Amino acid sequence: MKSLLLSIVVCCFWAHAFSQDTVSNIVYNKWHIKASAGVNIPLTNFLNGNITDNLIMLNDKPTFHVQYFGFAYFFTKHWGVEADLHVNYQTQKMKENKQNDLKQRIFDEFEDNYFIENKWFLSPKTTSDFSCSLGIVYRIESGSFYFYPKLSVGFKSINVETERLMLKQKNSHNLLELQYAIDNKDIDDFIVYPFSLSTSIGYKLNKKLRLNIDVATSAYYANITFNKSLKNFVTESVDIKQYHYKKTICNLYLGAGLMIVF
Amino acid sequence: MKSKVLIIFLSVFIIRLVVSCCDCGETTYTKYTHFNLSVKNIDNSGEDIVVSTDSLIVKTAYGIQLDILRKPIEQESGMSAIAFTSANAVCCECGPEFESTPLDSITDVKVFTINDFNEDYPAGTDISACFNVYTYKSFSSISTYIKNISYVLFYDGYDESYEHTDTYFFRLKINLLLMDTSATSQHPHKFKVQVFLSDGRIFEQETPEINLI
Repeated sequence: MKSLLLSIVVCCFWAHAFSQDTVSNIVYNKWHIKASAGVNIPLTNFLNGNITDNLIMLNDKPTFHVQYFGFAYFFTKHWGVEADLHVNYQTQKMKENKQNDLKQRIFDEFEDNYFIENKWFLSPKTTSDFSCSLGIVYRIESGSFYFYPKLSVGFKSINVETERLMLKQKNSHNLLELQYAIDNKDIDDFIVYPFSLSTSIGYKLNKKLRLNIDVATSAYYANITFNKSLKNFVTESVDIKQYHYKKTICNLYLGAGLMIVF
Repeated sequence: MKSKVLIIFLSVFIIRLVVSCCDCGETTYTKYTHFNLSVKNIDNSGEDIVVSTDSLIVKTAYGIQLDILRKPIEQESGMSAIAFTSANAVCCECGPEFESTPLDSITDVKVFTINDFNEDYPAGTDISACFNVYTYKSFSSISTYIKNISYVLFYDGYDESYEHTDTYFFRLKINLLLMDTSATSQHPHKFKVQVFLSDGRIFEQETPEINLI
């Protein structure tokens, strides 16, 4: 929230900042490298309350540990291309919560009639997802400040897990294998293709170093289906229930860091 | 400079050669025969199958465990010793300490009900079709199981999975699970199990009496 407020304040005083410098002193560097850290704020909800939400390593809450690396080359005075890498860390706490919720829901459904194998695939280890993008950037600069709006497309990986365990029916020979997986495959992530509109704004500390703020909105379409399969080893029948995630997801990234130009 | 490079490469090769020359013992070849059968009631109502001495078992979780003893009868130590030694000189994967092959094999297993099982299976009838063999995550008919029994035994010293004792006895445990849940509960049940061997012998045992509820 503080970051958002700071961004709004900077934007409000932007016109004043530009009016104070003479354009003739500006040096237009060709290469820009930047690194920042910040917060990723989901603007739409991805998860839908199903048990399989616990196998998607995303939260519909802000993620504070986001690292951002950017690399830009300006081929004219105003136009350039920029490649970015976002690394979005999922906390161990989030994974623990998801694992506990998954276990609880499975116990609630099966505990009365089945013995549940105590071997869980989902492990509460810290992981990260990442996104890369390539876009075209426009440069507006004054003597002390700069403003770089950017339009980009890219890809983003989202971590997913598979859960598989055995259920032995009480007072019966029935043995079931319960599995939650995307298309019945044991995959680690799925890829979406975000479209992003962003801007870098900041203050020139000296000729090479700049204090940089990144504001980016991104949108992507996710279309994945989790299968819950219950395989009965006695009858060899398989019951399948599907959980669909077909949504357009929007995010806001706010970050601050440093930029080096040369 | 060239000689130093050569020495480094040679040292790596020599170290690998020394490590790879393992001291593998000779494989002892034995043969075994199936020689005894005992049967027990099993209860699969819990998380795992357990041998039961209770007089009552839930009919949907009842089964019979066949415990077939195997006995080594011949020992041909070091029959292929030269071949194994030369093979092991360049490879650290030693052969098994023991390899045992059967003189006879199981050709059929039949289960008969001694008392009336239900209307379809009166006393004395073959009820084998009502049982499936359970192995890890797999239920198969008796005939399918018999076709797929792996008879050649490889083992190194004491191997818990075969539960052989100091006198080289092996055990083959077969869990027959009752899949037909229509057994009458009006009287106790008792089953006769016959194991047919390729050399013409037939092992026969009866289960303890059990009430299926």
